[in-house]
Amino acid sequence: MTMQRRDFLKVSAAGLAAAGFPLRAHAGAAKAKVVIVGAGFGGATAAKYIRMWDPNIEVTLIDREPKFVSCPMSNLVLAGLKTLDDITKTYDALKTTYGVNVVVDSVTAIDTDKRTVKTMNGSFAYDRLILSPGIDFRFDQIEGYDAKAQQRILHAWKAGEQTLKLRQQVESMKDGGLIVVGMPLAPYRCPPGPYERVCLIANYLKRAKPKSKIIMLDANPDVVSKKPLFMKAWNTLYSDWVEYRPNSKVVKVDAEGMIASTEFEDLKADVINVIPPQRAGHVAELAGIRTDSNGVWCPANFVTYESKAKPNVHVIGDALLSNFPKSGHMANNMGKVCANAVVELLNGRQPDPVPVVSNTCYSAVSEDRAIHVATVFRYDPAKDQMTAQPGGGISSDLSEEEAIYAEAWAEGIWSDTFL
Amino acid sequence: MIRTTALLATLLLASPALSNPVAMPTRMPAGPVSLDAFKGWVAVPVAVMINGQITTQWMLVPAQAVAGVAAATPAPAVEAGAPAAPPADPAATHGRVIAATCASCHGTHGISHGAIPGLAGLEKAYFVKQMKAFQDGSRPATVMHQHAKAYSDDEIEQMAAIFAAVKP
Ligand SMILES: Cc1cc2nc3c(=O)[nH]c(=O)nc-3n(C[C@H](O)[C@H](O)[C@H](O)COP(=O)(O)OP(=O)(O)OC[C@H]3O[C@@H](n4cnc5c(N)ncnc54)[C@H](O)[C@@H]3O)c2cc1C
Repeated sequence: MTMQRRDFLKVSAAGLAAAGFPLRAHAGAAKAKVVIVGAGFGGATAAKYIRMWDPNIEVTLIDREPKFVSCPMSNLVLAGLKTLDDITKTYDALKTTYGVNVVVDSVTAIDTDKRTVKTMNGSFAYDRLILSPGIDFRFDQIEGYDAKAQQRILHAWKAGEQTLKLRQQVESMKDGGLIVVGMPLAPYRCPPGPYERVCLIANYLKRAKPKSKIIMLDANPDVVSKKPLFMKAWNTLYSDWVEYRPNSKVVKVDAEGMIASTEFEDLKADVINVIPPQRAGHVAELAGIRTDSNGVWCPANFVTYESKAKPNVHVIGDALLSNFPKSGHMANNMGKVCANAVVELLNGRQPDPVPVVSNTCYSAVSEDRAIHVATVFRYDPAKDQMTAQPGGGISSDLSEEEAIYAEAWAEGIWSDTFL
Repeated sequence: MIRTTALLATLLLASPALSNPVAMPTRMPAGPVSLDAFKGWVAVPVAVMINGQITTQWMLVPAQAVAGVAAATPAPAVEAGAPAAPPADPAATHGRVIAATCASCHGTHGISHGAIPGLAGLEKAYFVKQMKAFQDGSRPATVMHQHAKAYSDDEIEQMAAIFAAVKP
């Protein structure tokens, strides 16, 4: 593919001028301040790369959790193939190697006019704000999924406590038990994640509780991601353990009776794991940028990730409204494009007018086999959208070699984000 | 972080140390340049004629080659926060961003932390050849054939130059 370099330069330069990109007029030698909320794959990556590309910018990274527990690889914890320790990362290197000011606190308010972020214990002024708050769950979309029910019916779709508790539920279940996993309509965090979970729980059942079964209730009309590969895993490795039901949205749960209901049936189970529908994290609402037509995701431009609703506020990761898969890999890549844009803008220069981001999502299907999907997206200035490039695709088969790469991918992205 | 100025560049261009530039990254940011990936090298801006237009390009030279000159004529530091001159090329940072996206799997600066091969320090021509081989399928792969097809020749050259300049 040959890029028409000079053409896109013309288009994008005009576009930037028209969009009125603010060139920061510095008063004196004050350092530019960037505040980032959410120290996950998006936010931590943005913090590190801003400091790498311009150490003159002051970066404050705020997260309510003192350590990061990775969702990627957390399904392996459910199968007893990894521990929570294996997937827990610290912010030490961001502080010591990159000089990021890491604040462990909960954000409670954002004033986009005065450009300040309030936490429980402090207040932080910014020139530019980057939000990567991930997702919140919409429990209210499922009847009966109230605070009390949430104690027993877990989502385990944010890794940590919930991951351990679901592992305990699966482990303490009697042999011959039934596990029900419910998943929402797309878009949701990690398209292949729910199917990977079903494979890995089945993998555990096959080894430890062979008379047990797992039923997947998928709200979608079909397998959303890597379909032929997951189907192959279920049909060849787990045919006695997995039953997949499309068009089966969980509309109601009963935590007392342990029943998950779709429009067609009530299923009584020993363990119920329901992943609810999602939206951009509450922080996005605090900044007034959760402004798509349903008030669920955050529209932004793909050159700088600046919100379409509020100037100087950028949004990346799962919270973004886009055609991207909501993955850690994408959040990490957006962190870099956004970091570059923020550095360039704060220095009075233009950001990269045609960003390219990529995604590789591995899924483990057993203890020694994995599969992937890969896509590269390129900004198309004429259409103002990110276009999936030719060449992307999925694995040719369930692969032992890719199980090694899946493991190495996690080490790679953890180090690139946090080390 | 190493910073150079046009003044320094002028002096350097007159210096014999530069008559044989050693490496030539195609696109780097104008203005202050952060050179994490280029330890032991410094970038100097030079005017180049491309398609009949004069643009600023950056040339990498070994730090030792300019150390004497720089010591003799200390470059005035760019004031912190001062707006830099607008770049000649708005896509100046395109290369470093696409190279950075490789890092999600291959490690920051292409320094690998696991079974995925590192890219740091790979010879430029070798990198280019491998990407072409992934594109046309002559080098079998599990995933790189899918990624490689998305990048232009120019972009592959830019990534190659960036990784070649990293000391593994
Ligand atoms: C089971 C599972 C498996 C997955 N596997 C993969 C995989 O293999 N590959 C892949 O690429 N992706 C995978 N994902 C998806 C990936 O985890 C997400 O896409 C990614 O975490 C999104 O990054 P983010 O920065 O948007 O949000 P997060 O990484 O969730 O970070 C958001 C951060 O914001 C903080 N925060 C939120 N609100 C506040 C507040 N008010 N104050 C302070 N801090 C706040 C949170 O504590 C959190 O640390 C998986 C997800 C799941 C659930």
